[in-house]
Amino acid sequence: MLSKNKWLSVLSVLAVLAVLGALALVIFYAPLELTMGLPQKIFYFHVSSAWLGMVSFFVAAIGGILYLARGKEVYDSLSLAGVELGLLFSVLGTVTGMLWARPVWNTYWTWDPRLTTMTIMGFTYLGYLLLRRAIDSPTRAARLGAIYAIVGFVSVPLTFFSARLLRTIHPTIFGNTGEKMVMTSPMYQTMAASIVAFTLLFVVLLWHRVRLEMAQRMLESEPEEGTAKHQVAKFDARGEEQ
Amino acid sequence: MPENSQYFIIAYALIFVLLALYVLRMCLQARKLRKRD
Repeated sequence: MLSKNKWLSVLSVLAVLAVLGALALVIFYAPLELTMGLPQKIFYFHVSSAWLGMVSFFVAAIGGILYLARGKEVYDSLSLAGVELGLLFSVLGTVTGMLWARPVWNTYWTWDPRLTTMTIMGFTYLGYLLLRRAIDSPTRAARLGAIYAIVGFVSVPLTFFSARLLRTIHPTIFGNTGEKMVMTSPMYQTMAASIVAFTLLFVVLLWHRVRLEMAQRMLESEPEEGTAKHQVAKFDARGEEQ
Repeated sequence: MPENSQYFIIAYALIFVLLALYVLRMCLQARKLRKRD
């Protein structure tokens, strides 16, 4: 059921190499920022993680729309995988942000609009996973999950624009009106490499997760050997043969 | 060592540990499925 996929294997190796390459650029190529020093280098993977978290939630919403429109299980799996990965990358973004904030803001946490909206977004999607576990019927869980993934996506632009539209101490790089972070070319190049590497990693993880979810659903639809359900199925199959 | 380097080291270590844990979870799930298959 879980056959080898050559392209996925190649892409997985490429993703690992890309992330290690990006890490090498962060350590050896990106210059040391004058005022913040080494903790500023957390920024490269922090931005990539937070960005991929949001992209992931977007994928989850698209999966939800497609599931409602076409009713195929693969879209529900895509939505579920998107939420899971979105939470993983959002946690990475938040934790790295806290470690960057400690030496720069002198605190791990402050109820700044960006941090607050990020927390709301995280809890919104945690609710998605809890909702799915609370519903016994897979079809009902998929349908409600799809609606939740679409409605929950409202929290994503809210988080993205919070640092641009509201009064915040969180710096932005693109399209900002508030505090701008000044960056040199090697810094931009390192950031671009990190985002590309993380995007590749995200695609690979998403692909693996959807495949696993589909394989699990296929197995669960077949009754497990030795169980009463399996014996009934065997009995029915014999009956059909005769 | 530059000042405050511990935050940089912990942040990057955490990223790789969390990613590795997620991959490990998927590997264990795949192994379970292969056994059942």
